[in-house]
Amino acid sequence: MLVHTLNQIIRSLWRHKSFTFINLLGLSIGIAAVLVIFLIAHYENSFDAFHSDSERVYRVVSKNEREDKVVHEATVPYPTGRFLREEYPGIQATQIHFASDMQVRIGSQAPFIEENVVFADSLFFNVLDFAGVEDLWLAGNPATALQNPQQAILTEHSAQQYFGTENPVGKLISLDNKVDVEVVGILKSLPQTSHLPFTMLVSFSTLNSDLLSGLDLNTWGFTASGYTYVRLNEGVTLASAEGALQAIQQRNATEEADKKGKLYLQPISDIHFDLTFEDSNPSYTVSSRYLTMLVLLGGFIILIACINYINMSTSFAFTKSKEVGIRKTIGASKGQLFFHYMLETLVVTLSAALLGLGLALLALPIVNQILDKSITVAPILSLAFLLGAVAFILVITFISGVYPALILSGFNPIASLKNQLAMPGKSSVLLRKALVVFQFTTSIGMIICTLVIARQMEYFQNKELGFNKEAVVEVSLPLNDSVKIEAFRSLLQNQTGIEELSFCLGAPISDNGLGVSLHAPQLSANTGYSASVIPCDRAYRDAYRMELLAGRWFLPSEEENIGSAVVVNRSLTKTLGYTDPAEAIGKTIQLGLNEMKPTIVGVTEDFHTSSLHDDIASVALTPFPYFYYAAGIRLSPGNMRSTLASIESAWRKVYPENVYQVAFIDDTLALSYEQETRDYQLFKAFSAISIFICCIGLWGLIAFVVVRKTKEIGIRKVLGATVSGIVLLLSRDFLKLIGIALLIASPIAWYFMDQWLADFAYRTDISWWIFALAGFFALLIALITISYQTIRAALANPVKNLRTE
Amino acid sequence: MIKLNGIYKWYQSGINRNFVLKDINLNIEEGAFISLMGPSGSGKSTLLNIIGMLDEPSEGEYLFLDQSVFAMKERQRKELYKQYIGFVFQSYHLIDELTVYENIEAPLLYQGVKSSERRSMVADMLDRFSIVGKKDLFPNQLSGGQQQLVGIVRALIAKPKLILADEPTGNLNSAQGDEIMQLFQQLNREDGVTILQATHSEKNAAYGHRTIHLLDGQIQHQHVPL
Ligand SMILES: Nc1ncnc2c1ncn2[C@@H]1O[C@H](COP(=O)(O)OP(=O)(O)OP(=O)(O)O)[C@@H](O)[C@H]1O
Ligand SMILES: [Mg+2]
Repeated sequence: MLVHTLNQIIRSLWRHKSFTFINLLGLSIGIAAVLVIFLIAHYENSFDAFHSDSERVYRVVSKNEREDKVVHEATVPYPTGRFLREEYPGIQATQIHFASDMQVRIGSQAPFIEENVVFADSLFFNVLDFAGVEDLWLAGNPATALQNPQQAILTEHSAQQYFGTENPVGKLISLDNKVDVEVVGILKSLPQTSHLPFTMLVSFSTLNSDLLSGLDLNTWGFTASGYTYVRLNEGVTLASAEGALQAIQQRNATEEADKKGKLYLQPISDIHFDLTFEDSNPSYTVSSRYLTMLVLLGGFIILIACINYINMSTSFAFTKSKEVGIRKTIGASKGQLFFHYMLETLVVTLSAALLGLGLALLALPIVNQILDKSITVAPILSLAFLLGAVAFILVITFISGVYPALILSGFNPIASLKNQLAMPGKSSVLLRKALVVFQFTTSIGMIICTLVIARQMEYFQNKELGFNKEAVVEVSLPLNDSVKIEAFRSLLQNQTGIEELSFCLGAPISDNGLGVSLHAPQLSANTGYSASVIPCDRAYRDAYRMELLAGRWFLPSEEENIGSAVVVNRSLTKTLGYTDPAEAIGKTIQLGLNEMKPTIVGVTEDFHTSSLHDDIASVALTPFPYFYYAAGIRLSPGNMRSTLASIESAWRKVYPENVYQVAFIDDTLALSYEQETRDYQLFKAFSAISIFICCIGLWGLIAFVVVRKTKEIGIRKVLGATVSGIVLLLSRDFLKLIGIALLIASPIAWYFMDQWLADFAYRTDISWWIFALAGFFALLIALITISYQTIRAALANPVKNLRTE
Repeated sequence: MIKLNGIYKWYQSGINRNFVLKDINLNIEEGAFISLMGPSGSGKSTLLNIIGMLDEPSEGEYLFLDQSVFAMKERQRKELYKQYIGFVFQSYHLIDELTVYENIEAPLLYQGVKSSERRSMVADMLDRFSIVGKKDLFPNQLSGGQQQLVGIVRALIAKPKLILADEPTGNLNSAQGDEIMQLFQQLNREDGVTILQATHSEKNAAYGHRTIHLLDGQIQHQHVPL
């Protein structure tokens, strides 16, 4: 029976090729989208899942309640790990230093920049054991590898990159031209799904004050890039471990505000998903809301595809009614027919699943490129996935198939044999309309969201920056050496093509500065305020074309007299309690940098902040040559290429040992929206897919309408109807449905986008034209989809149509 | 075998009842061969559909082998139908996607007959009606007469005790019609199959033992040929 039914189903699907094609196309694209979304979600969810007993592994993080905000940080003072280890035997703690920008040189080869170098102590592999990676160690001894200074462990990948086919063990690597480390071990390449990516591990004891620009690792209160991870021994409770941290904090904190701070433990499995620590995570962070949104998106897309199937099948049911009548008169029961048509749906969804798998495999490299990830198909090879996929296919089959199968198996045999079912019933027409409205509501909703997101991205990129970003490059200086800085300046002094040259810590981006404490008579004394200080020279203003709201820039005398004058941004004056920036001029503030007490001489417009979500922080600009690590250079228009070449050659003369790094500020800014841009691309792609699937369904539905109305069209034409009149007649119903969908989608999308925008400190507004545009867009696409068939029907010869009827 | 008592069938149109069948009382014994005649619209098909359990009367009692058909559960009725009744239509109503063989086999599938048994039953029928050579053809590759023959073979495959034929020769020429009628006669005589056929042709009606004349939904008279 089953074989016979299958055989008949396949023949019937084959016979009605265009019907089958439309159904397969919609479903397979939908399934491919869901599969890709599954793989993305699986990839994100598999972060840090490869350590043994990972529920006992935590990262130490801190929370500081300030007057103006709560500051969360994942970096903690460097002695934290050592104190924990020495004083609390139930806790295994490892201290690391994450270097995101380290110059690496192998022998006499040209140096290059390595972005992820981790300095780790010998307990590193006890805490983060990578137990899920088989045969982790390709060479070296795990027990001793990080014990002594100047030892390094490479990953397979970096070993190959540095040394090619040679055996790297025993070879030397120079770091920042300051220290040589010896390769003592090789690790198999690690999964990319780690929140702590590294290409090289260096023993923590290698870190000296030279490598850290003179900073002392043993002082409390200095965090920079220090992270502490702990593994609690069995039986040790979270509360007792956090109690230990609290004690360490209280004992070491010196400042009043610091004592209010709190160290606590963050489960390692949360790190990748907790946006609280987004800014201090070494790798990117994904919000679980983002993942939920993706999954919802996938759900909607597959639902739209299922609805296509339902609509197509119920429209088509009337063509099949005679067959149902025959089957019933030869003894088929309702149940048998129901089973038959459910099986037909199963065959379609199964084929669609296979096609969808193929499509997903084709799409994955593109998705990886868009997202800059390395998502693999490996997860689908597991038994759990297989079971899940079977369940998923059954659910889809059920959603798509039940209603059409009920309709078909419920046909009255006599009526269907007499072709009295040619017109579908009222309720099923209503249902079909409701389903089409649902589809378009979803798609229009997605279009609206896409437009709002696009607007927000655009808003951000074009927002007033407080400076001019065109034609400015930033060149990094590897050392803070005043002799070299002067040498560099004199080489570029008379260079044509350079408008201005400024030495500074970095570009005017508010989170580019040194975080320091801020005190002022206007502020309450024992709550901590903070400001971001950007050390810069006098030329900074012209190099970045800073706009001043009030006051003036530093005078040459003030530049000589360090700590005497400061230019602040509008936010800082607001923090001080002034509504008019001019009121702040002449006031004195105290900054936690050399305990300087400069006078405010000028106020700038608020700078851009690199994170879309953050409020703009208080920023203070002041001359402070000890932190000049970059040169901001404004180029004059025209022939920039040769100017850039001379800048590079001057730089290489001054810093022959180092890696030249240069970037246009526009590019740097664009990079800071990279994550959002990628997400936006993904969203755009899924919206396009959903509207495409809707249109496939519309195409199918209009085909049935045209067939059913062939005779009516003929009669109307004979009576003198015009082609456009007939096109309108055929399209009107659908256009009305899209109108309804727009009305439903608009408030829902508005609600969600309003919520989404609320997360941003600076946001665009949702104007009415976005809804109008989305509606227009949907109508246009729908019209294009249906016009081919309606116009063809309207142009057909009426006499011929009437005769064949 | 069949007993109809006071069968009425009407369609409601507005407040009016349009009667299609009015007070039909009928007795059909096992082994009978009955022809049903009457002008178009007189209710022949409706009556056949009711007897064939494809339609329900608006009023009245229907006994099949002494069991009241419309008091039964749907499932029981379906069983009865599968076991005893074969339908033949004017427009042959074969399933386009299935070959001759598969069309004939289809009712057995729905009855859950085992595969080996099915094969021999279909082979028997193909043999008996000399259509073995056509078994792999699709309906659209057959002539009208051949299609009707397949339709009849399909109705016979499950060895029904009652064949209901609604103008079985309506779409056939007279030679083809005669063949079908002879086949019915043979089935009736040799296998004892009860046959009830609706027809417009006096000649075909004469193959039966008895002719029932319907007019406006009422039995006008019954006529037994000499
Ligand atoms: N669904 C229906 N609704 C209303 N009236 C119906 C319906 N089905 C059949 N009728 C009416 O019932 C009457 C009897 O129809 P039926 O098909 O039984 O006639 P018939 O004797 O078989 O005619 P013919 O010889 O043309 O096949 C007709 O007048 C027809 O209009
Ligand atoms: Mg009839």
